[in-house]
Amino acid sequence: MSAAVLCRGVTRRFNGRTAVADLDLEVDQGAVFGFLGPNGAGKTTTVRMLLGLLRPSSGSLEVLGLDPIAQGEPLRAQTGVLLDQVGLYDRLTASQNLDLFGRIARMAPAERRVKVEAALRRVDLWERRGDHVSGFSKGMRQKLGIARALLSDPRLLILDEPTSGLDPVNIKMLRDLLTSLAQEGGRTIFMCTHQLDEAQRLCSQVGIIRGGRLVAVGAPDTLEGGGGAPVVRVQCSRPAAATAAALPAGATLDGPDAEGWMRVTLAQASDVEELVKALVAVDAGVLAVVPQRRSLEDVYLSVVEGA
Amino acid sequence: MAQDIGTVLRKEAAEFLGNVRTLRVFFLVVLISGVLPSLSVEVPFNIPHSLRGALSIFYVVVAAVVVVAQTAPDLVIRERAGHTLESLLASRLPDTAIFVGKALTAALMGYAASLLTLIVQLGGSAVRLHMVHWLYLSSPTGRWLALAAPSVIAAYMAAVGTFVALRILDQWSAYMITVMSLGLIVLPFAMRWISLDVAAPWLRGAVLVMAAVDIGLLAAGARLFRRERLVLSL
Repeated sequence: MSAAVLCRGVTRRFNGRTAVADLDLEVDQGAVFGFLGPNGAGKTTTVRMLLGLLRPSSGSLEVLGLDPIAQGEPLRAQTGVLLDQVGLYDRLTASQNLDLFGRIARMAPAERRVKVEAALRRVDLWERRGDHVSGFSKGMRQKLGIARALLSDPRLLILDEPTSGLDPVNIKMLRDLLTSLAQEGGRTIFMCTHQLDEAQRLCSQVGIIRGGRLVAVGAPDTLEGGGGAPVVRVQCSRPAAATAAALPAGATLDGPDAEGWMRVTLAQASDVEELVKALVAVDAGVLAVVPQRRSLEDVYLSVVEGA
Repeated sequence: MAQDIGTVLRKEAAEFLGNVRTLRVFFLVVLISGVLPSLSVEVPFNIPHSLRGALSIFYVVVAAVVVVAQTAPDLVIRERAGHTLESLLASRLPDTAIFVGKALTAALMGYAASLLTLIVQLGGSAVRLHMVHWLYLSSPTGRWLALAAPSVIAAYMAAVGTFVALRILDQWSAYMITVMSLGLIVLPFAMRWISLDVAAPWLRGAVLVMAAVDIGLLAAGARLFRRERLVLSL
């Protein structure tokens, strides 16, 4: 299966400042990719390069097998976009906004009518189709922006901070919509977000960018990066001193807690086997050894803060 | 391409007609340009008919110039301010369609203003609200000046105004450069490199040359307008 997004050594500089540096990234077709990073990390610059709105200073870029600059028109025809600023026409109604983008997509009038109605119903805005967008709340605008992005049933959906600036009710509403989109499959979703729980729940792949550099990439549950040490939770029937005696070199022990669990931070992942052997050897009364997965938030914070 | 240009043209026209402030300015320009010639010629007495006709034509051209100078940069600047320009650039519309569609809209609005100005002038004369001399329209020279000249001047300014607005951020600068671009047309005559003639054949030739310049400018603008060079300014 070819990649939906393929970046090789992509760099973008602005007046001597490097916004994106040597980006190597591969997003599988059909994947839901979460692009994480603090403000100014290079997410929006990357999105603009993916859409052919910015030319990379160096490196090569392929989206849906096309060069975004040289083949921008066919690429954008297969791509639905919700940018950080939704960019709707305030003087037009909700349906007129979508109708305009249906025209831009060269849909026939009958097809346009059907697809506009389907898109508006999908985001629960059909009843408000005749209202001018100028009276819409931020949440309604975001939903209409997503409806616009979905209008031509794109192969690639690019969402830049879809839940940014929304209140909790609207965040939940939009998250439900994104969940249903992610569950549909068949479509690649490239989503920039600050919401780590959202990324953990929705994304099959995530990448973390910091200072223009991709510092971690992988599945949210197995993502490693930032130099964080592996941690295992250990429960033994004998006192903690026995466990402490079994620790491999460089490991530290915390606990036990009220339930008898101890937290062992190892120097490297391969030390787990050595720890188990040593615990058995010192007859520590091992009841359980559970590798503790670091949450996406742990990984994010460690790589973003450079820990 | 024609379909895409038509889509942009339709969108821009809807935006223009849906904007009360823009429409107010448009009709104010038409009204002033339609009525002002009579006020200009009736204060000093004994102004010859030919000069009255020339003044009328001058105001017909002025109406087109003012409306295009405002509209061409505005169609871009308003979109940039509302963040809709980036949505448009992220769509499948070709660069050429975006540029030509916007420029043509501005040119058409300018030409519409000149035609409406003419109608106001003629209407005023017909009901004798004022005494603008409009017999010039019976001559080929007058018709070339009143009907053809505004169209090519409007297209010229629209191409310049759209291109300038897409490349620079400052709204006032965009307006000023668009207005000053008119000086480039006047310069060859002011410097006496080309002698001005008001005979119909000369005018016809001048309009055709100007139309060719307009087409060249639109083509050059469409070629130079590349979305990947613009977005950073948003």
